[in-house]
Amino acid sequence: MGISNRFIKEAGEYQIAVTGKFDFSLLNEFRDAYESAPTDAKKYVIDMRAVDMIDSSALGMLLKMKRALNLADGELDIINCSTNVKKILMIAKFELMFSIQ
Amino acid sequence: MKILVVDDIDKNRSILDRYLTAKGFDVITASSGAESIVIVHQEEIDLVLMDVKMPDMDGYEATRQIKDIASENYLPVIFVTALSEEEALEEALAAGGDDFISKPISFGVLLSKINAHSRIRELHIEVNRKNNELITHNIRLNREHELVSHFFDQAQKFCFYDEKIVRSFSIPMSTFSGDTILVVRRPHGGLAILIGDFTGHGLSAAVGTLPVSQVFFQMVEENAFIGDIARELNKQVNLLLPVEMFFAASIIELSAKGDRLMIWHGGMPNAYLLDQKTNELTTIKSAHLPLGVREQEEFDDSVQLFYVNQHHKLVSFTDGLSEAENTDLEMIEADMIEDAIVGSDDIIKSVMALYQSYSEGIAQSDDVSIIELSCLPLEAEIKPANPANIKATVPWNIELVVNDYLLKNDVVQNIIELIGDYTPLKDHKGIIHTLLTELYSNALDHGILGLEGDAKNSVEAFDRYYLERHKRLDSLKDSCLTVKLSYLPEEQTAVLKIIMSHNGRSFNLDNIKAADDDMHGRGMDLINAICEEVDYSDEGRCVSVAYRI
Repeated sequence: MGISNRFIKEAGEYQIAVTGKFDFSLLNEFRDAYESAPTDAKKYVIDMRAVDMIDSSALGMLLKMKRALNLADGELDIINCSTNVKKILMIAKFELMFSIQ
Repeated sequence: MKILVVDDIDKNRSILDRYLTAKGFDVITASSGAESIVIVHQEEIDLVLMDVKMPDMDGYEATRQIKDIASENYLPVIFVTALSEEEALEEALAAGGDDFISKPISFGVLLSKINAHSRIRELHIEVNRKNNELITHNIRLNREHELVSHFFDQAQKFCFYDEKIVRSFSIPMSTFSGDTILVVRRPHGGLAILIGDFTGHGLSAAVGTLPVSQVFFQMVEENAFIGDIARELNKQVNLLLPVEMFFAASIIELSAKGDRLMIWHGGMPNAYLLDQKTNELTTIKSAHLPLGVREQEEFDDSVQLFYVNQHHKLVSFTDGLSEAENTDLEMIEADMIEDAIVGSDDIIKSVMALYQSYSEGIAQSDDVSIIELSCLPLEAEIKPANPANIKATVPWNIELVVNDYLLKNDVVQNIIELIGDYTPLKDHKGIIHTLLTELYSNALDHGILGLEGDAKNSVEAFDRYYLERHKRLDSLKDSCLTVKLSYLPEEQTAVLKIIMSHNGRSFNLDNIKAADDDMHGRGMDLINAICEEVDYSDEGRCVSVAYRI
């Protein structure tokens, strides 16, 4: 449960992986994860493969991250979404601001 | 020990009979070659003393036939002869005789010859027994091999097969391969692949593939990251296999869109990523030691990542290929393999053709496996919708009444555990979970606890909010929250109705909507978008929603 992160150096990709419930309780942990991204990170990715549930505060956290890192629309990838998670992101029209898979 | 004395002269027979019987042998006599053959057929004879010159059938012919009857069993025949030594020996040996003794018989010599041959016969019998044992053993082993190999096939059966995406080829050295290729769909799309090679070959190497495939399938099903799968496999290999055995492996993940390729590559020969549009070849070197070498604490789960498209092909193979030798015992060169990959429209075919021609005339010394992955988007797996499922269900109601003390528990999690795996709801579990979470946090945080939404904007505010939330949860008095869930099946579909009510603060929809920033307000929109009907009553203390399955 919670947040883990990994930096794939050669590709310059910084991945934040969320496990279990992606909700309000992860707020600080999630912020710590993107604020501590290495400076040579060229690409940010949220790996949702192990997310069972996402709530509205998680949506807020994703928007905050995009704004804090000053990323343009489509620059933040949200990957490995389950059908249910994807559905929530679509309801929130997140596909306009994020690249969702 | 039973000795057959063959002689046409009575006196000769009885001398030998008497002497040998006195020495404790079991003696049977025959007065002609023909009779001796009948006896050998009937009795378990251990040694034959054969006269040479007899009417009708002589000793040589009788011996030939006796040796035929004895076939693989060693039945020594000693000729008793008055002939001169040299010619007797020659003839006797030609007829299949084993020894001879000249007349007049020296009983001492006869006795030692009998003893020597009886020892040889015993040895023969023992060797034959062992041989038969081995044959039986071999038959059993073969049968067991068949069974076990069936077992291995079954264990690896969950594999995904789509020739357009993944192709593989293996040449095991024996019935069992120490190489493993597993390809499986990931739950949220995409593919997970394992290609690996256990130390050695044959059954001992193949044994490792069982736990490895089980762990791999299970972890993919659980959506594990490939670095974590590698870590767990390392643990299992360390735990289950002897120290000198390890598992060189490539764990590969392709995204559903076919645009991201991740690989944990340990102890394997170079893998290659070919862009067929530009013929650019990227070499993927092993970044790690094989699985089962490192202790868990020092294990490195880092992966390599490649952004790919439909023109990319990944090729990975085991060292049976990259270490193939030719008749001069020179190993195949990487350049040759690379040349076979670039520009080929059938990579496996051209690489295997190279292998076959290079190692021609050399006995295979290791299992060989190769896999080719085309980085194409994967079509979503079609899960059969099952309206019959719903048709067969009956409506139900569940009501939960949660008071002060119980509100501290994760009520939503409790409900999800209760109904989430109910078959008709299963595919909607995540959405229902989101819905309940939104409804519940509105009811608890804003209604019962009376917290203001704007506390969630900064780190300090978050901490403050949480502390305040805790404090209020601890000092709750006479609070009550009721959740009523109704499952109502219809013809093809069903509705899940949720009514959540509480006795806390009244709920002003406009207030919440006004605070529409990053963190809030979105919840209301989600509820409205997910549900068919959303109704508030009792000044917002009661909300009733309907979710269609």
